Amino acid sequence: MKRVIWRPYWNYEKEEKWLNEMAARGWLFTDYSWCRYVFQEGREGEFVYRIELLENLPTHPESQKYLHFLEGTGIECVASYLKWVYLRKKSADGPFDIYTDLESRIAHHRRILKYWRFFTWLELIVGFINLTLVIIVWFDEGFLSNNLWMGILLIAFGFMFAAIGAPVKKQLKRWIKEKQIRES
Amino acid sequence: MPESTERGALTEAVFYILLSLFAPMHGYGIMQNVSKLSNGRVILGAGTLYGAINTLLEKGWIRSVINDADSRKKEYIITEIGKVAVENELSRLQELLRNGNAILGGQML
Repeated sequence: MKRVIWRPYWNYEKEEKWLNEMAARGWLFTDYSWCRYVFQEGREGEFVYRIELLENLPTHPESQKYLHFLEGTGIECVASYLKWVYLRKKSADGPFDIYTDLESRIAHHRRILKYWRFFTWLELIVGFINLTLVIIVWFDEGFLSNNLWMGILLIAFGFMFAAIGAPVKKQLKRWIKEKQIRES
Repeated sequence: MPESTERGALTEAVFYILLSLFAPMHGYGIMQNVSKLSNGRVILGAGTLYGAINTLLEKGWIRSVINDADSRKKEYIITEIGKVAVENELSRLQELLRNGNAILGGQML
């Protein structure tokens, strides 16, 4: 049996936890497209799921090499979205974590922070361009209400993405401090 | 061999990966071997291992073994420079042990 659930997630760790809870109840995640999760009915707790942000798109040769390596260790890539990949491994094959020391965890979270920062700046810049346009045109030709609302909306989105990145940055700082005294 | 003169401490993961590769091994083999060597204490994540392998290949501490039988699973082996790095690390660890035991030895045992 198949089940489709629509749900927005902006915290990959919470998303990962949810996928694992679904798997524990026998709903095995098999496909993803924007906010849309597909589950197949299967054996309860058969797989453990992990989500990772790659350095490149999954189709990039470097990513292909990496995913191929993961395959060799029993890890299957079930779905991808932009640079995000959804990985799973049979729980019978032992514990499953992609990164097991502070160094590599820090590198992963740096990538995630960079990802959210990109969207933050993109929205803020395009938002401010809209607002500037409104002010410039105002004196000559009149009021552009569409650009005003678009600008406000985009800037709000920018702050939203910044808020999403904030806890990532907090954890990153904690790990960097921790790394001064231990390595895993 | 400029690399062999480096004196920095190795990470636990790198030390165990290098020890494993005294015999040729592929990625999954390394993960299992490290877990076995450490009685299950050190579990290497595949992403952490992949990063370490690439860095060690770049430094020339390990090299890949040409294996025609199954090209899907690439095998690696330690190089002479890598062996020197392990030996340096071993004497560094022995120093830590000596000093630790000298100070705590009487109280702990």
